[in-house]
Amino acid sequence: MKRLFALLIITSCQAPSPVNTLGTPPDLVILESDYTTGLISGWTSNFEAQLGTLPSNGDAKIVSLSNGYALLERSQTDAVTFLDHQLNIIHQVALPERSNPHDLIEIDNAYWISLYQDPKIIRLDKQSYDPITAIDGQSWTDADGRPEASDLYVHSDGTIFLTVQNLDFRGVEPIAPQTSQLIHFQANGDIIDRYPISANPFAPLVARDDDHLLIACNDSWAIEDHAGLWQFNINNQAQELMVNEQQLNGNILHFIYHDGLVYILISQLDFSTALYRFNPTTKALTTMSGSTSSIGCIAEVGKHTIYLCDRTIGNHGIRQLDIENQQVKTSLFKTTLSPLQILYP
Amino acid sequence: MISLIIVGLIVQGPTQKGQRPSDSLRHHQGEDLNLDFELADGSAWESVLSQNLELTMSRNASLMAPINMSWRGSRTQQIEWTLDGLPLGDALGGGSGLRSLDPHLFGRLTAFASSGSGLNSPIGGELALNTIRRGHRLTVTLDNLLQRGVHLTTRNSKRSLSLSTTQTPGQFPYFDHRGTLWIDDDDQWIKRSNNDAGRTGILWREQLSPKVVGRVLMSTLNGGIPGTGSRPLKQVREREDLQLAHISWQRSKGVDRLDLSILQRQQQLNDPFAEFFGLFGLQPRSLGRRLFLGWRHKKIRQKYAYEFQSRGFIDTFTKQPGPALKTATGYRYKGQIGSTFRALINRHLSLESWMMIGQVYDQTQKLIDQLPEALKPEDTTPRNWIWAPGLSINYKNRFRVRLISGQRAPSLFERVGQHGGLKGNPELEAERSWTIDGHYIRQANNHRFKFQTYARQSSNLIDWTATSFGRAMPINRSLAHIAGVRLSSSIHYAQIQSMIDYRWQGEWIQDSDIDDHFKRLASSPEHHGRWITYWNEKSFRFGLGVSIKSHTYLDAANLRLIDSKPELNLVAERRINRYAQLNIQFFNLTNNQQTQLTLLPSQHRVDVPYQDRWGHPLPGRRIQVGLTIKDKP
Repeated sequence: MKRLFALLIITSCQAPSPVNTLGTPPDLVILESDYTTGLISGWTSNFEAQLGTLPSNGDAKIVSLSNGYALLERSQTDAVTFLDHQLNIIHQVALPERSNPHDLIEIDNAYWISLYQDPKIIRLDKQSYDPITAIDGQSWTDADGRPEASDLYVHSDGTIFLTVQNLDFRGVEPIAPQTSQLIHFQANGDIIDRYPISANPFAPLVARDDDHLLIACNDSWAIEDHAGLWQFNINNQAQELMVNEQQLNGNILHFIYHDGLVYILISQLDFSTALYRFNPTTKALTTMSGSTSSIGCIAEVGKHTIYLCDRTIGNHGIRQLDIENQQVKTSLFKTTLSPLQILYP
Repeated sequence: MISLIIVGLIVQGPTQKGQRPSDSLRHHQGEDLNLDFELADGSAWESVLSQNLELTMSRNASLMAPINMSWRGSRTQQIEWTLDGLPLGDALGGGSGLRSLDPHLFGRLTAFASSGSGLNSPIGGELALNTIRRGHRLTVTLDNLLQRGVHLTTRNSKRSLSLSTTQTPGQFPYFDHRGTLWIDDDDQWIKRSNNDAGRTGILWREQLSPKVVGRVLMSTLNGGIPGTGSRPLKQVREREDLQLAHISWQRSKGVDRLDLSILQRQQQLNDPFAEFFGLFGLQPRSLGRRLFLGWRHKKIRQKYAYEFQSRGFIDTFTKQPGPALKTATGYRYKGQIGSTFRALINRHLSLESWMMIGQVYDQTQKLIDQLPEALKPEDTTPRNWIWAPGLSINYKNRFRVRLISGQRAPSLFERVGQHGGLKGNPELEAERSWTIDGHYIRQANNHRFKFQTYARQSSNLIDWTATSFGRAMPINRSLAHIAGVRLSSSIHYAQIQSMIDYRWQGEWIQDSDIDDHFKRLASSPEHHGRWITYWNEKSFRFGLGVSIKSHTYLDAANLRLIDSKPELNLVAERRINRYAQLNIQFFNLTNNQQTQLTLLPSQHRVDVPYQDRWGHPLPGRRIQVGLTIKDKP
């Protein structure tokens, strides 16, 4: 009973909810989620103060745009919500039921939205948010009738790339194909080409330079020597496996390219995580030390800072990576829910 | 051995009156719930069980929805239910398995909070059903949503038979915000679809000899799984069939009893367009069987009483995730022994103590082999010990204080996992709870007052932990601290009967032992009050029931706060003659169909349908007409 009374006192003394001051644009935006309930929170740089919050579904993704942000929601609904820099809602658009929007990019006059379970790319007019003719995706859809279209990327030459997983959902578990696809578009939506890539691309497409893209491919989610981080040459479509899952001892959950090095977040078979630094030139792989067992994301903030989403149950928040000493700093910026994504506009 | 140790610890107590010979020694610790409660839809468990305010039920919009209940802050899986002493809950998916059975089939329901009637040691409590019904009775009901029910009971000295069927088209209008909470130009009122359901059951009890009783129970439930309001499931269907045969031998004096039963449950879910799982080949079928053998010896003397119990059962669970896969079978063996002792200290004071110990052994390799490589658990620890003691001190039958421990071993599903991304965890340990509760009762000729209080700490609670790849795995992590107070008072004066009941429950939930942010349980109100009044006038009887709850959180993170509205139910009965009566019942008279959801911490308020725990919209006002014919007035 003593403990119960103590709990009563502790809970009655909790700090009040942060006040929304949405007039100030945040320097950092965090998507927090326990996969059921979600929350967008805006922060000053270095997480000194929270500037505002916005509710979201638990299964969501936030994308940075020139005039604010786009929030993609799925599972409980299928919709895209456009926000300004102060996280005020500008517009919401319902997407086809169970289409499962996965990514959104902005080009000159339109937004493109990739759909995991619907064979098309939805395009919206940037001014009016009205739909423009969708890009038909039947040609890159697999036998289950769904493309499993994943991430979009606008290259420096203005062309667009889309990773398509082509997982087979006809059975009792999703089955990875022999090869997945990388679709290359003109900005007007015409397909330049479709390239077979290693199976099951996951995580964002990242440009190493003007000629090379880095793509993480997890194949069957077991640990395989032909799955891992691949480099794709845009000019001649040559593909090179940079580091494989045997070396990483898990599946790639997320990665960033920072200062010529790749920081790779790994999900191990027991669901714990690990963080590595990989040098693509020397192929050296270094383990980052510190609290890395429950990391959900990794983000580059400015030229010298890397933040991590620490999803440790009961003690979640944002941690900084000490790049020089290759370890996670002990200080924790607490968030309301476990962080899942960090945006630095 | 354990029993002998307990013998040395107990003190003697009084003999309780009013028990049936077949009742367990601790039966008096339970609270009887009225299965014919007039201000509730008798076909709905949530209405029947909501008579106990310590039980928080989510009203369900469909017979198919798994029953979601929380008893003093416990979860549905932590609630045991039994039929004539047979443990059925864990074989049928915890308390949620009750959905297959029509409440009209049974004669008595006793609720044992935080404990069980015998060897069960649930964290939440035990719902003990009894098959005996009295007299002959036929009830026919029809409501404005075209839900139809026929319930028949007949009994003579050797045989009782209950038949019951409920069929509902499940169509009613509801508010659909279409998942776009920030725009309202696409909001609409539409009709619920794929929400039809039918449930039929038969219960036959036969006195084969003065010492031997046989029982057969069969039920079938099938219908549509409608999904949430803004994201309905259009083609998902489910069917569940249940068969139980039970034979008991009992000495005429009721001190020795042997039970043997076999239970079978078939379940199948059809999801032709992969709306539910996202996988076209995942069309799960399962067959669960339980063979049960139990023995009980009870002795009641003037100054002491005791009861020894032992039981063992074998569960087999066969599943076929889809037509393309072969079936695989897993086994669970469970053995338990325990005893209860009661002793009289003096004229007013008595003590009761009990202890249960048991072991669970699992054989799950074939179920694990059936899973894909990425979901296969690596190690197995097939054994789990369970034990639970309890102590109760009673004074003058007015005061009672208890200290009780409860435990739940992880289920086969939690240990093995299943297709669709749920990885099992063979290393799971049993969940454990400790409860202190007490009550005070004051009773006069026309008046009864009861004060109850309880506090519980639960640890090692099993929660699913999700990952970014859409997978989840259960681990022992959460803690729950619960405290509650309940006050109830009833008065019976001339033609008026009135009852008022209030419950406060504080909850402090931690995601893990390092979590310093305490939360409330999802869908659990802090305050719950109820007022019921009946007025009898010659051949008429009128009833009024008002239920008020404080707001609740829809989610575990406590960021989705949903408003509660008072609910009003009315009943009017007219006795036509000695045998027949007609009644009309109004449920949700205030027609609650829409409410407001506050999205925290930013305080956005949006309109949402009046809904259950899972986001299924609830029907508005319902008017039901019923005709009852019975042999006794």
